[in-house]
Amino acid sequence: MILEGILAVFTVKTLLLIFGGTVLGILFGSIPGITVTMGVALFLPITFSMNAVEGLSLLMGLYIGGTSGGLISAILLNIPGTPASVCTCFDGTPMARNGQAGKALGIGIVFSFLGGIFSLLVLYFISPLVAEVALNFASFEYFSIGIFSLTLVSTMSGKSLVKGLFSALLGFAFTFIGMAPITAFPRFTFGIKELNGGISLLPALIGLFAVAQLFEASEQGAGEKVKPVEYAIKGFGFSLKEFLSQKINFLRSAVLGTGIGILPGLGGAICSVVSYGIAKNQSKTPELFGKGSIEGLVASETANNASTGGALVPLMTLGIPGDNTTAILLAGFMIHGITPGPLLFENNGVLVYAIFTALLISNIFMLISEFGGMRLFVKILAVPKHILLPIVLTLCVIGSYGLNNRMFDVWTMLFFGVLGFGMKKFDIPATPLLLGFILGPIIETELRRGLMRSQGSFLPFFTEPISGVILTLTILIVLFSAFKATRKRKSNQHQEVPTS
Amino acid sequence: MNKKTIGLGFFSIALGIAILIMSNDIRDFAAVGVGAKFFPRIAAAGFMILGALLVYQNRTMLFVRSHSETASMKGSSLSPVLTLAILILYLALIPILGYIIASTLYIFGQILILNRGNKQHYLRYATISIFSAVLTYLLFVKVFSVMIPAGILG
Repeated sequence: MILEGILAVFTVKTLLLIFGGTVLGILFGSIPGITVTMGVALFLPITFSMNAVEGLSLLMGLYIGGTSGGLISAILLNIPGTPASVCTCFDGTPMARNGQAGKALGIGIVFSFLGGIFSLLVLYFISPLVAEVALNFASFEYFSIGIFSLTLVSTMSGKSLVKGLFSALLGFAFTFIGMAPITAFPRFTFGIKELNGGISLLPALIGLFAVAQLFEASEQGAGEKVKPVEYAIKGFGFSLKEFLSQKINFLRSAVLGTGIGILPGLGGAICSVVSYGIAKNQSKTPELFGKGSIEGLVASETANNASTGGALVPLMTLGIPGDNTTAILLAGFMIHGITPGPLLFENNGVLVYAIFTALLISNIFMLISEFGGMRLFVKILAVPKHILLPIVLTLCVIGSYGLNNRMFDVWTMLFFGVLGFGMKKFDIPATPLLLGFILGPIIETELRRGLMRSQGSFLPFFTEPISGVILTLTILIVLFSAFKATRKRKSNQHQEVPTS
Repeated sequence: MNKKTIGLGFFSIALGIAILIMSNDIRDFAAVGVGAKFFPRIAAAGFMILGALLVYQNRTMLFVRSHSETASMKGSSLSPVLTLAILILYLALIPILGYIIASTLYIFGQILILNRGNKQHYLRYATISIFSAVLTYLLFVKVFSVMIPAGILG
């Protein structure tokens, strides 16, 4: 099965797709304002015409490339291309301004690669074990996991937990449209026959994460043209001695990045910040952090790329998306009729190992293309946003139309684009909406199935051991989040009093 | 927290009431357990509770007249409205004119909107618009086999 999976990726077409995906991912990640999430969402419809291995390999390439690409603009423009590369700016930019842009890029690229490979090894060895445990799950456990996953809203809510919950509930409410699960009676279709099948995830995603960004950019205006810092790289850009001096820092950052990445809802940005902070604490020269420290750069880039393999563990073994991009990757699986979860390892073992191989190859392509194609990426970085975004929007239209070959989905995309922009104006986070949209049908279907099994009794949801533990954990997390939110609110009120 | 949040609170309550009323029309059949109305009603209750919470948390702002917000509303950019208008026009034109022509017109118009207030390079923008619309069409139709409306050119 492992060999079959590896061989499935070694076709010219799949390798080209991984390469193309990685290069495009680097572009999406490196251009500030255009996110890797948007890139993966845009390319989902293209995967329709491919088989699952080809389609998912392309998406994995985009994911890996996009996560790493943020370092280019972080170092050369002092603008993080992705939230996960914020800490890369702290030391990458000072290095670039001191005439060490080549060295900074070299260190960033190599340690991104090593971080990615480390987390891939963890994914390879841990996920089959988690999947084996999860094989015993039935309706009660799946319902509990769905409810548990909703607690991620608290980590995705930003400033206001209530607004985060509102967003998740809105996403849940959108799933009511169409045929009800199990009984298949139409709900909230308002006599529109296109709504009988419900709202498709893809146009909603593209609208929320890509079209909304266009509206935002139109409000901000074209902005000033950015000019990247000049750079030159010889070899990897750094010496073997410098490389070896970072081995402890690398190992610590890789473990932190992968570990935090496994925890749903935290994402690459947190991995990078935590790892950077700890590297500074442990450093013999903490005063150099923020002024061009190699240690800081290694910590940030290792951790954010190490989060990729970590974030895929809950996605592939339990079907829980940890952040925006993995939520869209989940949609990528579903589009090909594959439900991530423990059964994925049992029923689609070849695909699982094909994905692992695609991730490995994508990391290698990322290393090669970032060193070899740096000049091209820097040139594209200089293309103004007012030219790039309208072209991206036409791609959004193609993506949404390609889903069912109907304009209805394109109008749906526009609706969600306007909704996403409106939500930003009201400081409502969009990611919980996505979470509600994905988890809603799972929760509803599994609850109804579970109740049919238990003859209408809710008790087994609490008395079945795994389900009971998950629900208890959920209640504890909810109580803790509510307590934290109340405390934060009170401390904010105290701070506001003296100034008013 | 501001008046917008209170508005959101009232909207959430209204949405909850609307879902609750509309859920009465759902045909339901559940011999065991819960039916198709169950979750819409749970969501309706959720919207009302969250709405009430948002209003309650910002109750001090309820009777405050906010000058700064009115000023910021007046000063907000016209570009998002123009962007929405051109997008609606674009989507309406795709089935009639086809992807290539509608996209060319859209990209050109959208670049002008996004670059408002700066020097416009009409010829350069027109070339970029035509080139990118044709290129994306060929790439998706010929390479990725995605169906796109060809319109009058088809």
